[in-house]
Amino acid sequence: MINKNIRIIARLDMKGENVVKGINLEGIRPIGNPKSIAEKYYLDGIDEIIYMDVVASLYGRNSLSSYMKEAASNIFVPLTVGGGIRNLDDIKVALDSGADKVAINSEAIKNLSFIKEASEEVGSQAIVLSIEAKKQKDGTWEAYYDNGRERSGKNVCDWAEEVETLGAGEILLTSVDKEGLKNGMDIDLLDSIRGKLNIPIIMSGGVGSIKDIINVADKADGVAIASVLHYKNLTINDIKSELRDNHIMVR
Amino acid sequence: MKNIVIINYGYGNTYSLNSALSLLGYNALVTNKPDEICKADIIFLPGVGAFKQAMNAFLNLHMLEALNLALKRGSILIGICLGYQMLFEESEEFGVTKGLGLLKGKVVRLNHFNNINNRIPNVGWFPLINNLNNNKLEDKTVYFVHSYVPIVKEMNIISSFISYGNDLIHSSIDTGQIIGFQFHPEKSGKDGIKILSSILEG
Repeated sequence: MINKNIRIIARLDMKGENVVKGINLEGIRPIGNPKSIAEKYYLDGIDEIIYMDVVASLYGRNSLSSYMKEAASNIFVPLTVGGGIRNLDDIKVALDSGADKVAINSEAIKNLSFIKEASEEVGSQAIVLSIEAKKQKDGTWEAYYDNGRERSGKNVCDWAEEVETLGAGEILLTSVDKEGLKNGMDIDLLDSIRGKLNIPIIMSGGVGSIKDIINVADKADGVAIASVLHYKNLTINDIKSELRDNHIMVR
Repeated sequence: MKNIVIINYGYGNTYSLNSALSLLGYNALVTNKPDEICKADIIFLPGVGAFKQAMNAFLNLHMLEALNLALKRGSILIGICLGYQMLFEESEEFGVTKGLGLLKGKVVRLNHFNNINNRIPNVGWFPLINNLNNNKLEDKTVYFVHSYVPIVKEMNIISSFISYGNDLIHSSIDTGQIIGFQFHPEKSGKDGIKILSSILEG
């Protein structure tokens, strides 16, 4: 029995000034302008928005601050920004510009103390650990980074447990294998880590229909969707009303 | 025009709160200067992060006296999230830390409620259960992200609850002069904007 609302989250993969979308995190195509896309999703009732800079193109420049400020001026739901967050300064720039959370992957893998330092500095609630999971031949999942290109050697379940201990407040769990294909989420992956964690999990990768969301609704705390919204296969209203019809609570 | 300030002590999403107030047509001043807080009619105390660090940062800026003076003059104080928790006597986050002590009660970790099915931090949208007769919070669903929550001693100031497992937790208070929200009205879509609007008009 689920007694709380599941969060329906729009994921905007960003490259430079554009929203883009790929398949298995590769072969990205431009979708459009982030301001108009995000504002539309907000007005349509999205619960949260994740901006993921897929080529870390915005960092080391002032554009992170300016595009977060532009978003936070008009969108009044939680905003997460990730992709290329490397140090406490990047985190502070994002949070001071209206972001509520930052998503961290590569830097956490390269520097184990980063999650601990970051969560102590700004609070666990602002630190989302992003995991890019790829299934291996032995049936386990390995955590990748740099947008699914580099192997960390870390087992996804062990890594998720470790980052919870280090102070991460949420996990954004992306199945690289399912990402962009619109043929369902990796439920086995979610099952393999759900029981081991106390922090919320946002499941990402593979939503092609409302049934795909229903299938993970009793296990995930949030579901990130992209293609079905970007390509206008579904509206947020379609999704929420059908979830309600299936006795799944949404805002 | 009401004189509105947002206290900036390094532990709050002042940008988003200010944007929400702008949307409603209010021009708030984001400040850490005691003399500006003294003069305000409405004072927002936002907050995210850790209780102890936030309290220390607040006290180090010597704003407590200014806040008390403003309250004596009849200013309205609105605490949000960690700013709500800071209104109380103490928090058990990383040992016991004293709060501002404006309200009776203490801040406890959510595992105090022993609900194995609920995650900590508690993140997401919850419908408010309105507890006062002023209707401001009726039929509103708002965004929470927190690991701690106040246990309010004066039951008559609790303006809403949310259901957390089998328990009801104290999600907001309203004394008439001091208002506190565990949730983020500035991140709660149209419902949150309506709540802010009803306070500022009231």
